[in-house]
Amino acid sequence: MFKILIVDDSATARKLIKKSIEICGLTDGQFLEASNGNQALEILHQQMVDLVFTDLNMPEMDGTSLLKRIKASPKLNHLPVVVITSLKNQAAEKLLIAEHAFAVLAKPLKLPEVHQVLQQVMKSAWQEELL
Amino acid sequence: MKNLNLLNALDKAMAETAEQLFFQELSEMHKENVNDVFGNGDFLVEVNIVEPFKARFYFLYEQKFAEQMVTEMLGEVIDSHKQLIDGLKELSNTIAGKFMANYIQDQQFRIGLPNFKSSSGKTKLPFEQIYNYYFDETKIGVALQPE
Repeated sequence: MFKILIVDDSATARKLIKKSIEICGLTDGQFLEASNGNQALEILHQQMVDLVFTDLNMPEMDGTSLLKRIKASPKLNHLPVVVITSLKNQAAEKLLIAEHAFAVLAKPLKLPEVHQVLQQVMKSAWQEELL
Repeated sequence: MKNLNLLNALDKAMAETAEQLFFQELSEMHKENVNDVFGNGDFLVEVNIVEPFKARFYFLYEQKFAEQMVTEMLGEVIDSHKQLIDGLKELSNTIAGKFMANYIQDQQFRIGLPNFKSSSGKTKLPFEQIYNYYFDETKIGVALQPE
């Protein structure tokens, strides 16, 4: 079962992200939720996760710091991190991709974009399994 | 992409949000002077723009529309005041972020966390002019004040 961690300080946003993922076909995924980067790291150190969706603007630890911490950790740096934010512009996207974000999606989510990202993540997961 | 002026950036942010969250087209927008006071159970959400300039967004939601909007956004009936507040904060944050992304493309920007206010009494609104956006028989009032 594909395990997805959704990180956003808004319960509304977490629900919208989860619904979008399910509509895009991942109906049997297991969803975990965190409301900031600290909580997300706790979960990531306790259990295996296949994919992280994170907001940027959050209290305690924001999404950029979470992304950097994941990518700096030898245990976690393989994880694809998709940033979902209302702060997406060309400059922000460029910076986040340079920090090894898998993709940067704008809020409100567009289903074709979510679908495309899920396909890419699944494809790279299968390719890794084959190797 | 070319940067838009303030009002075009706001119009675009509202239109995109209405379309993507509510599957609706904006039916009307008009600017009006605020002569009234905040109160009667209406809701106000403030979002600070922190960088590259300082300003404050105010989103005004009339009580009669607020619950309907959050219900439509989530696609389910909301069952608590906490859910309503969270939904209005997320909606305001999304619009503010989209506005900034439309207005500024070539540099990063930063906005604060949304701050929710409701009033049981009568409070003077901290702005004089408001842009009212109408869609799906609901309305969002938006004001932007430089600091």
